[in-house]
Amino acid sequence: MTQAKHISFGNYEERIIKALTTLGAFPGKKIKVVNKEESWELEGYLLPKTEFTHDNILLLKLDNGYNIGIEFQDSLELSLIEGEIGLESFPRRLPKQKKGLPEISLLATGGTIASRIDYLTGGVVMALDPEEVFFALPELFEEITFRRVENLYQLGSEDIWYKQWQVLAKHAADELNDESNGVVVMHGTDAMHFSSAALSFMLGDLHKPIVLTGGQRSSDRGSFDGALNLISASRVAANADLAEVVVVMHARSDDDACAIHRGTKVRKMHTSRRDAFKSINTPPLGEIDANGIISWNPVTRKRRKEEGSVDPSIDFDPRIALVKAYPGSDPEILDWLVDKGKQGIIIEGTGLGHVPSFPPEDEKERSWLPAIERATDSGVFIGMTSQTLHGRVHPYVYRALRYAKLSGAVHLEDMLPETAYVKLGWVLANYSEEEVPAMMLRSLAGEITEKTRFDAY
Amino acid sequence: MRLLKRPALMLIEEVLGMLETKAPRTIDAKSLGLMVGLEFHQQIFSPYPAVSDPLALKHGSKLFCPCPSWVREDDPDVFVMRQLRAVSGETGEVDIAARFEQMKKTILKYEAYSDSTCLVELDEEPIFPINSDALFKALAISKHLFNLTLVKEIQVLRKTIVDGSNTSGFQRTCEIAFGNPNSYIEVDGKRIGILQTSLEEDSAKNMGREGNARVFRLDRLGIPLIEIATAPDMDTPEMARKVAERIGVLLRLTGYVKRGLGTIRQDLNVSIAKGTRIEIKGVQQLDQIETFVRNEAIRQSRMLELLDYLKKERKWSKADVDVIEPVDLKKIFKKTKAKLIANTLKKKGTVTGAKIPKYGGLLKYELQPDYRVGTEFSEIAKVIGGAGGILHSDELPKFGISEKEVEAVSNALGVESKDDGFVLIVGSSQQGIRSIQGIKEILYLWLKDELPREVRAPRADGTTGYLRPLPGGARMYPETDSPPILVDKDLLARINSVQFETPEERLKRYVSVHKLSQKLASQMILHPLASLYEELVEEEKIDAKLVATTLLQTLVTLRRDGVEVDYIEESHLKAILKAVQSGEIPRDVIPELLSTIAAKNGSVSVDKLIEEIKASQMSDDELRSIIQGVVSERIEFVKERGMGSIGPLMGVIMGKIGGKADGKRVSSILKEEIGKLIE
Repeated sequence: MTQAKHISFGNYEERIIKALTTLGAFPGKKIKVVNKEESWELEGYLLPKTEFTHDNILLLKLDNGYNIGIEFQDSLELSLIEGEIGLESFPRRLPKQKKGLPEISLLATGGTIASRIDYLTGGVVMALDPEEVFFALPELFEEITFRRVENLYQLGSEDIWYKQWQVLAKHAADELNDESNGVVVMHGTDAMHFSSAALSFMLGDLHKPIVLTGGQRSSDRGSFDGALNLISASRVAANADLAEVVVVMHARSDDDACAIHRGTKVRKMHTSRRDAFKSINTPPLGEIDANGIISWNPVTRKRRKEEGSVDPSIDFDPRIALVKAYPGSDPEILDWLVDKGKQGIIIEGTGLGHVPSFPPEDEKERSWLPAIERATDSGVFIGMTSQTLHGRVHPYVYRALRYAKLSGAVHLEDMLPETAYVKLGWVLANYSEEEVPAMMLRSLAGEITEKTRFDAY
Repeated sequence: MRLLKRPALMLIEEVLGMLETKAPRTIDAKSLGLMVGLEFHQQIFSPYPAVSDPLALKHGSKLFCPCPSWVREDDPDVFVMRQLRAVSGETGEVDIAARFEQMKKTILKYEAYSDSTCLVELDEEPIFPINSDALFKALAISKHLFNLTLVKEIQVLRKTIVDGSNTSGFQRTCEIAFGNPNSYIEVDGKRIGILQTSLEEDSAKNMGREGNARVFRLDRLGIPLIEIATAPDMDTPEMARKVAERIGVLLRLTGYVKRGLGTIRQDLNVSIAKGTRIEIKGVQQLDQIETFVRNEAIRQSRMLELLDYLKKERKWSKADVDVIEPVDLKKIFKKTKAKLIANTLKKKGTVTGAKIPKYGGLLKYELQPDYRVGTEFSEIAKVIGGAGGILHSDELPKFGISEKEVEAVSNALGVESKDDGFVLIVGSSQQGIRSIQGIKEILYLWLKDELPREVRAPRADGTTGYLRPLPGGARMYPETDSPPILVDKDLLARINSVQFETPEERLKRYVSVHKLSQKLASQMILHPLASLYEELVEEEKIDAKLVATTLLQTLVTLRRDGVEVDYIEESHLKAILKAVQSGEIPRDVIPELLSTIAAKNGSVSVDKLIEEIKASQMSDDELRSIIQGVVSERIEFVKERGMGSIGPLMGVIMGKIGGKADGKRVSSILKEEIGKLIE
């Protein structure tokens, strides 16, 4: 345990800190509080003040384990008594690794799966070492060995962008080239599907799997879903006959299986459920049960044992944007983006790929068509996807669509808007301007299906 | 060939010497140094602020979501399978109790209802803000009933519980008030200190086992509970019961709490001078408290005696526990005549056994009345190994197991001395291995100088069974999804404005205002349906005597006559008594109506029944002609007695009309008719 004097006072007011310091009472130390006016007394460990605690409140942890806040008054009699607690220290070692087991690598980027509660202050700490997560999963080390565990970032998923994707892609490629059986990436869940798409394009033709996983419940609780996710992801990385970037997360609310989703066809579809991730417009690649048994849907890219090298193409053009069209949306947003120097814009249109096109005569300024035309005329790529997510966009069904097409927008089949956005940044950086429309319509990492399956919705 | 008599089968008296096999049935609480503390749990009735769901308005809401606090009997329609994992506690080490639970590697099946539970109970969504009405009521109770000091800023904490009764792996709880020198209640002139109150979520309902899985139902999970912890100031089993009853009455009189079976639950902390603190979890019936306390005092003194004997006389030591290992005994029972074993083997199960050195003859030593050491091992095998129970050397041969088989088992397990015993687990080999590991773990704890601290579960016969080790204190940490709650001036003012009646004040009111007899009034106050009485009399303006006699006498008579009155709901009573009060139906039909409802298991439209009775009521004209008939048949009697004949004639008439008219109506017509005659 660390010494209590290292625990900060947190957000306590100056005068409270002064009174406590004079007493020698630092957070973690045990104090006695006597309130003569109200004739009560309490003993408890002083806690640091958290951000939501009200003014003039002293936080104590009582011997019965409860935390309470008492009102700080000058009339309180405070005294230091024997006893002290420290910030918890977590085991920061990998459980014992066995030899002769399949070897994989782990890259951590942050997120719920890599965060835990600070038991003393109650704050969520993003700084969980991967080793700490592993400590809760001793059974994993019966079947898998980790050749490398690297803590690359401690970022929420929405704070991870192309520079981090590039670092991730390079590290993942190094690990695979270094004879790792596969790579697991621990990642925040909210925007995990952006990263999985980015890695899919950057790493291209893989011979082994890259598996992203995360948690929807924090690791402090017995119901931590990240445990099964991480175990399943590790098993997929170690053994699965697969060579793609995939997301492995709970298949259902039950703790009995995880789904294996293609990195370009997956999306977070629920704010909080364990089974928030769903494959869109295609069934998941497979499902891995709690015993590690995988049932596959037809997989196109299988693990290759002999040829062993990945050559990542990590160039990425960040001059891209994703915008949503909706009734009343201002088309000037496109003008603004173009003027800002964006080279490509993905529109999340309505239905089959509509934008406001033919408003009433006296409200003409609401039409997006002129803005799209202006953008494409100036060489900006405009890609059309649908906010229904499910299904395929189509440029010819309605008049408005035909006009959008004529204005230069490219309808991107059944590609997810987020995948299209990531792909656009990668295509812009790796192909010439003329090649961009064709590349956006060619399925490079399974992001476009040839036909729409009935059972995919 | 005659089989040798197996040593462990010798008469227990020979083996035990001075040790008495039977446990005593009574105790001398004072000389044992008995100390009892209570944790009284009571569900609070609190619809979530601004909730519109009629079910939540009827049943109240949960503590951290607006779902109705509706414990249901019908079949669930949501099923989820989960597994909980041991997690690091505050010290970074996995809590001992939590690790112990994980050893059991249990699959958890949760059952829920799509229309009365939500993602919060399923641990699929962060909580809503705390139910502020429940908090207010719990604070008011803490202040006014127990004189506690209210916490200024309340912090919701997560209390790690991984037995599966909480989907999250923890229970949300907060301390809302703490004791000061004036926090106590008085029972029989003795002051019982109140230490603290907390507000917490009720756990999920345990629905038993399905094979390897434990089944829980989520309708109860999250119902607000106030927990009242007393000081260990009770020194007899009787006092423990009386204190619980007093707290129960005080809470009921507030009108803030849910009522009925299952809405209260006590944890009893029991210790004797040389024993240890044992928690008996979840006693629902107040009248059982005495038995549980007594039996626990017996158990602790019997444990001390047993362990003393084992260590001193038999030199029982760690080495004797180290050697306990599960052995597969399938082969011995290939041709067994014991049905249980034969059936298990047929289903690919097995018989797992282990030698328990130094326990020969002691497996039938009673720890509690009719509860042997063998029973304790059985309970351990059930909760840790998921086994159905155990068989042991002190009870075999029996159950169709032959002497020859017992002999073979003894040989296979290496039972050589009469001092050694063995246990058998019939079931899957996994159940067998886990059960024996569980027994071994517990025996290590028994080797220590002090009795192990345990949580024990109440059994129907008044004894308690092993449940789990008592968890350490430091396993609570802040609930990050709930901000701290300030008990501010406005809230304090609201709390201060509340006034609760004391039982004594209420008694006075019932006698002087409701005109109940002293006896009825004092019974009514203690009655579980006391708040229904209050509601019917004060709000529905139903005659107090009618309500009291129906609740206190009619229901009791019906129960005595074999009517299953548990099926009668408060809503039924309310509808019937309202109809009687308004004169729509006669009061004589109450017992018949209630019996009909009970006979149909409560699933009946009470309104329809009332309508039927109303329809069968005689018109005034019909009634008058019957009354005239009766009067004219007894005209001499009437002339002779005048108005004094009403009483006797009423009986005759009521018998004739059989509940088809209200007594009041009959008597007023009768009065008229007699009046006509004697004028």
